[in-house]
Amino acid sequence: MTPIEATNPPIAAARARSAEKEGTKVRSRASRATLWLGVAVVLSAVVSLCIGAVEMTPLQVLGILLNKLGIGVDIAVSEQQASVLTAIRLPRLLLGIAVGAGLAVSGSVLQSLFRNPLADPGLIGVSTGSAFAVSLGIVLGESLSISALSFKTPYLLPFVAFAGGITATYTVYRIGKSKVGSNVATMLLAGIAVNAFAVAGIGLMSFLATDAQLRNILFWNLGSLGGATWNSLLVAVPLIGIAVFGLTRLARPLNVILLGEADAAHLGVNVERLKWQAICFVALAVGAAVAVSGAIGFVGLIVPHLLRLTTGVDHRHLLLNSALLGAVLLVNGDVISRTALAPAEVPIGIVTAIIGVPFFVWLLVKKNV
Amino acid sequence: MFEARNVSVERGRRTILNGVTASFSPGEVVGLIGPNGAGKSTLLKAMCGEAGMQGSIIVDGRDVKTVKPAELARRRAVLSQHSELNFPLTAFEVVMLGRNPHIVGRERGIDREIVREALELVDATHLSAQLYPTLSGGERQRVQLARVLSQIWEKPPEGSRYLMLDEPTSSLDLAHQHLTLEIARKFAEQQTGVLIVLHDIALATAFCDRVYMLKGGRVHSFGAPRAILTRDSILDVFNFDINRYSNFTALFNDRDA
Repeated sequence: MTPIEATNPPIAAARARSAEKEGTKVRSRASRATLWLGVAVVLSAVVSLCIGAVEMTPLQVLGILLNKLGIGVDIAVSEQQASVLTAIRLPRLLLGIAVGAGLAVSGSVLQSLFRNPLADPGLIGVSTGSAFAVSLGIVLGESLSISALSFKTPYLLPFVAFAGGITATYTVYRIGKSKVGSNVATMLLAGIAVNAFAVAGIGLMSFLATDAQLRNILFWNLGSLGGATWNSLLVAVPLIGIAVFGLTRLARPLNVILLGEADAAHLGVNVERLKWQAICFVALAVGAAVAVSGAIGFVGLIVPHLLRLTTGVDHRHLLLNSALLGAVLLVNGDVISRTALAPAEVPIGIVTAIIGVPFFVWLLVKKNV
Repeated sequence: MFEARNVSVERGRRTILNGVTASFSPGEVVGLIGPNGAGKSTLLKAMCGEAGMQGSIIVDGRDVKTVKPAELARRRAVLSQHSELNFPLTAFEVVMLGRNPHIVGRERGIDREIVREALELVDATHLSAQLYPTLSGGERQRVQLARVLSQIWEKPPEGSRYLMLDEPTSSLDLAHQHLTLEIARKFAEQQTGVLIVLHDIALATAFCDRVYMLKGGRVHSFGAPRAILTRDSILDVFNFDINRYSNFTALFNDRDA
């Protein structure tokens, strides 16, 4: 009996249809997740705007925002509440959303590109590469008196960070790539090497820095949303927005490249162009994020993982959901960082690492079972 | 016709292919056989543009370099020997990736229909909701075959279809080995050109219209399998005498009797 005879076509077709329904279910689960994550972003935003040294109710927040937009409403707010909200909390919230989305989407894309679920902007050197470039910029910028690199007018820093990030990523990618294809183990080891080099570079810059510069460098290494101003938003948000938008447009070829580079090429994907575009957008998003908020780790690792476990691998949903979950995670992380040891502020990089490291270890252990 | 003209491939100082000319046409199943390291897979990879090489690849009279990758992907599908997929896609999703060259925007009903039929053809319908990394080696190979078939399921407007399979039977049980080659024949009957790397001389004899025997990076001989797969040529190419065990067989037969 050949397998062709063994298969009963009507039953087989029915089975395939039920499998397809399964697929539809996953897809609708992913769309539902998008909806819930959207709600979660809004709720986190409200919490983040209300909680802090100066308390306010959601209604007061609404009142202040409407007043700012020129719609007069009669809700009692103090002068102090209004200025805290508009000058401190709102830019900080928006920055948290942008940075969280940028890091999470970058993580998702890197994991697919390296075909390894352990790739993360931190692990393969993008973040530290950017941070190194930033500290180099801070120290050299001042000695060469380039004002655009100074802390007060940080317009050039995102681009400096971008250059550092893309150099680091490309180095890692090149080292890991042989004629036969990309070797992921080599690539992760290369990431460690590039990381170590960048950390040494940051150390050297700290050693050479003046006291004021040292504080800046330290700020970038620990990661914090505390430096958020409307000015830094103006630089970071468009860059991260462009990068995230660009990456979501790569969803289809990113699905295909999961099969491997050779197979993706046979399916008509221009693999070299895809890799270049993806790496550039990732370096742009991570570079901009690092320039305004420092090196915040583990967001890019955890978020795509959680989503793949629950809503599947398809990048057409994964990337959008990553952006939303990344935003939720970072906004809530920032609330913790502001309130846990109030009035002092725990840098958010420490908060995400404290949440992220156990998760990472759990992942490694689970993979080995 | 899909041709390799005077193709040479070097890796480091090693010459893997040395001036090989080979071709396959719509409607025929052509086998590539030869010992390990003879250059079978390298020739197949060179013909689909994977390996850096000298010489030229001609598709229906045009140099392959002048054919747009998107058009090529609609007409020519390649099953690689190893798959690198380790993300938790379902078998259905994996096969759907084969429809990628045909999909603009969202996948259509016809794409889902083709994926269903391809899975059924390779006897993998029951696997379609399973996650690919949880499948066995043979099941993965069949799912990948379904993906490749779904890529060239319909006749494209641009011209003939070509199918290249690199050891498609290596992990399969006996029944599925035959199923795979029956599928290859079925596609050939529908005017697809099929090129298969095979190790099994019996399968090559049974299913191929023509066979290229490779040895040391050169074409040793080619033609109808019954004409060229002789005891002498196999001894020459594989350094193996197919009559070697005839005495053992006699021994067993005697014992059974």
